[in-house]
Amino acid sequence: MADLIEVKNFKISFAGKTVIKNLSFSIKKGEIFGLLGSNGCGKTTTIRTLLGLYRADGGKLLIDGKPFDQNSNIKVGYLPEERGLYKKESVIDTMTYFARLRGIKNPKAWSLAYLERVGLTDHAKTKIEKLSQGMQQKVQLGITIMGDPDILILDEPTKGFDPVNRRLLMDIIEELHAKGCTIILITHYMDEVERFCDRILLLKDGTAKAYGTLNEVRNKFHRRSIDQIFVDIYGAKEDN
Amino acid sequence: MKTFQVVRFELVRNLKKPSFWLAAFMVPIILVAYVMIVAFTSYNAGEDLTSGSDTTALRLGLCDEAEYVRQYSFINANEEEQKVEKIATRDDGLNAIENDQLDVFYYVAENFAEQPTVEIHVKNGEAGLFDNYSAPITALLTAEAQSRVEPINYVIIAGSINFETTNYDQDDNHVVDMNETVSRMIAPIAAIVLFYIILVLLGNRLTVAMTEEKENRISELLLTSIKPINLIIGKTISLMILGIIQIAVILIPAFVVYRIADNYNLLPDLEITLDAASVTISLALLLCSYFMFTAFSMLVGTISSTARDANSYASVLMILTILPIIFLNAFSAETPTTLGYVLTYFPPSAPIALMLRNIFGNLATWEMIVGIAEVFIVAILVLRLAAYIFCRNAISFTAKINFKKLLGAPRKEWKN
Repeated sequence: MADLIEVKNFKISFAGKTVIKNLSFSIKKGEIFGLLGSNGCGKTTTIRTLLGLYRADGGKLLIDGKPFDQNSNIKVGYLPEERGLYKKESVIDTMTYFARLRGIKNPKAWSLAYLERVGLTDHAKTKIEKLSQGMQQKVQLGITIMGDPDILILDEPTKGFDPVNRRLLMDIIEELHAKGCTIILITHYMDEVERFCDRILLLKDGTAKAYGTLNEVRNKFHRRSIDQIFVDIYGAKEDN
Repeated sequence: MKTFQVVRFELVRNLKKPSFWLAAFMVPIILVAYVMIVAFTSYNAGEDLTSGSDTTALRLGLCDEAEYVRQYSFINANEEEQKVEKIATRDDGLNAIENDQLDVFYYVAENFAEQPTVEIHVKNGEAGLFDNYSAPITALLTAEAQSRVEPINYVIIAGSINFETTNYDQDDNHVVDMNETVSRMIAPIAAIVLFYIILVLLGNRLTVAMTEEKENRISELLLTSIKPINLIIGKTISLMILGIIQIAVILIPAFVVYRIADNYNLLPDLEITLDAASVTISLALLLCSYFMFTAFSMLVGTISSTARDANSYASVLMILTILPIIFLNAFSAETPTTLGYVLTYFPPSAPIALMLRNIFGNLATWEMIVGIAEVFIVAILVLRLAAYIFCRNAISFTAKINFKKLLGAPRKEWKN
């Protein structure tokens, strides 16, 4: 498989403190890539820089050979760690707005079809603020996967999800992966990593501690599970 | 295309809000209510002075022991001459009221010249009249007073003199009459009033327009779909359109009220003609001013993390904007003071300063052109600066702004 995302010698620091040091990795087209590490290790920073929200101090972060561009042909769906919605707007208006921004034909029809799939048809005209947390998560997920993205970036996607929504998310990941979508999964749940990821990158203090397919990483660390490797790298006292 | 989607979304959701229409219609409703009250009051006042309320059906009597009144009739509301019965004594009058021979009896005592009081005795006072029984006797006494002095003396005492003022310019050859002055000032005054109303009604909406995405944590989701500059331009256009709707909501009823008032002769007797140049210049100034204020509000929104922060900065912006009103004297003379010139070209205060000078007639054409160009160019630069900052501050959800880092360093997270 060809590389769709390429990060080369990426460096970034905040207030004189280096967060990422010479990080290099690539993500192949169509794979599920796990970006792992403890809180503050630079996972979200790497993604934000890849998406142009931060500017790197050095190195290159490319999607299909170019810096990220909202108007590119490569469609990116991003479920950020810090996620919210227009609280005062209705579900259908919010979804239709994002669908239009993503250039989806028949944005309302797409949105209604998704709402039907996730059981929110009756809430289409409900204001977001009136929805439960779980319902809001479904709407956020819908916005993220709009228009069958070529790249799906999920930053701690199951954080705060109830079991029903977690199941839904898993189904969607499998479905999109089957369609050839490249998925970056940032998670603290190693069972998700074991289940879904083709390759992983484990970060600590802004550097890559483990990188490769699950088997390559397991073999390198002589461990049977990624969870054990994580604990080895961060130490048993780390709060994961 | 994406910019258009932002415009559409922002417009529709604002126009769907009852609060927008409540604010939009508040000014015209107040305007219409004010005009109606003034019209009603002046209509009644007019009746008081002429013939009073409808007294046609009333039997009126007067006992004038001072022998001041000589003619016992007046012109009533139906513009007919109505007689007032002459009563010999006060007791006769009271008896006539008691015996239902009179509806209203007026008594003028012998010492009326020293103590000008008229007693009014009314039978069945609630009998379908406004509480206005003084109108007939007022009409009689006024007519009598008028007949006793030279007409010109009465006019002077009544303050009914007409004034015709003629002004000359420095070269003593250009005559500006009152009508011309009012005609020249009306569009600039309307522009400054509308600008102020928009600031009051839409100011908060403008300020929080760029903080909403940050407060609701939507920025990241949004910025993977649209470039910051497109988002800002879209929001600016939608806010401009909202402002224009606000202006239309005020101007259309104002025009209707003007036409009605004109038809009923409720307006001062002035020949006001709005010349196209004055209206065009005032409109251009108004739109450019609103554009610049919107741009500054966008900037305020981008450097703030929350609406509360934004409102603090917006207060400073508002004060800078209305500085020319605080220093009104700097503009009112034939030539503005140095402070007046400074405020004319200081971007945040330039809109109102230019409008004031346009009202006072001391803004030369070249200054007008330079001023409007400055306001427009500054608005575009501020908008670009807002987009630049938004790129760097869009995911700063809680942090206080650090201007040095923001303008000097590459795009990074500021919550260190």
